[in-house]
Amino acid sequence: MFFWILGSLGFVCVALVIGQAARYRHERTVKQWDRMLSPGMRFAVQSLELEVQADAAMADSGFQGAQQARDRQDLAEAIRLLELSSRAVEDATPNRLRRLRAMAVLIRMAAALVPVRPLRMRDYHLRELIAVVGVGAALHQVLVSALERFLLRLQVLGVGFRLALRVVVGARRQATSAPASRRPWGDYERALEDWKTLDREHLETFKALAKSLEMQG
Amino acid sequence: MPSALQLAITLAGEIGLAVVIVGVLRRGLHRLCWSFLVYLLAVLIYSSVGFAGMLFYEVPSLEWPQWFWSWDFWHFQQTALEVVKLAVAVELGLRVVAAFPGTWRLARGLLSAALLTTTAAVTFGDAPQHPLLATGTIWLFAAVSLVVIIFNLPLHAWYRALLAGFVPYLFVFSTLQSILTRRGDALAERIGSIDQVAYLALVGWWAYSAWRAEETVTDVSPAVLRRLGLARG
Repeated sequence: MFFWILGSLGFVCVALVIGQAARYRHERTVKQWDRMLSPGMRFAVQSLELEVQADAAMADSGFQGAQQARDRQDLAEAIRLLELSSRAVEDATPNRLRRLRAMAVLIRMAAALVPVRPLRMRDYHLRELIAVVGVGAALHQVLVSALERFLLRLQVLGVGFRLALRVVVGARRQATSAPASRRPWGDYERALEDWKTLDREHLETFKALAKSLEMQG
Repeated sequence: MPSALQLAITLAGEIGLAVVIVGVLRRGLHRLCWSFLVYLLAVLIYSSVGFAGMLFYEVPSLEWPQWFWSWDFWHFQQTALEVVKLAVAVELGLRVVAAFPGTWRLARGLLSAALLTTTAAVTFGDAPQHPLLATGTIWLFAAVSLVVIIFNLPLHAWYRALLAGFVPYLFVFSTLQSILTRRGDALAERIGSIDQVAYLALVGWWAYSAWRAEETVTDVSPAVLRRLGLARG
């Protein structure tokens, strides 16, 4: 009886799938994909690429200048430059978080184009981030659909950005209060590296999802 | 001895298959699904041999027609054809998602599950083998269709023709008929009686699909069509 019910259920499911597949309209589908792969979205991706590079360059150059000033024992200038670097990260992060939230809505077709891979623990330096990325990688193996994996990736990136920002701001404050101490500078450097890695991952995710943004629009 | 009508339908089926094969080779459609060409050739060869067996069955000095027009040969050819049909479904599944790496994992999972279930059912189940294999093929086609629906994937016209031909035919004339037969329903016999005509219609559909003009979608660049695997690069 159990197998009979199971078989009937399977039979109905197959019939439903066949019925749904019969509604396929070739021209409409191809045009949807054409819109998704249009140059307009490629332009948006290029703009974001530039933005990611510019933000990383601002944060990097501020930090490097601060380190050089610190080496010259010009601590006031070091702190000023460190704050500039930190400000670049602080200003950019909310924008990244907004984009990640928007992307979460529009992922299905992009998931078909780009295989979703988990973030790699070895790319990160902060312990908190390594733990979050590790949990994400483990969950990635448990989840079945590309859709769920994509959403997980967005969540991990969001948490990662928040953690990295917290360490950046904390290290900057510590460095401001005790400029001669080495630890906050080291923390800042690791957090900045992780923030840039997260930003590159966010760009890769956007490249995939931008395709569906235009489609939905 | 088969009736003249049966002979005529068999002959028409063979001519139809030859037309499909020539159409497939002429348009290079075999490169889109090699196992379907193997399937067509296998059907043509087996049905030609069976047809010769029918024609010469009553010639006293010949023994081979009785072998070719026997249950043993029928079982052998049916098993071979069912296995090639499974191969068609698997190849179709892999090719439909080839341009979309994000779908590979789901497609592989569904195809593997359908293949494993079919193998287990054939090995351990007590139901007749041929309908089980045909049902497995339908499950595979349904898995392919499910991936297409979930990700809104575009399908090449030839793949659509294969799916639109195989799925309804196998659904009605293998799975449904087998279920009705096991339940002792009289409808099964009626379905069985029109099987040959339905198969002829299926071959006609493939012939039409293989010979009709290449499908064009306006306002879409060739680069996008190549990216989607709908045009040759």
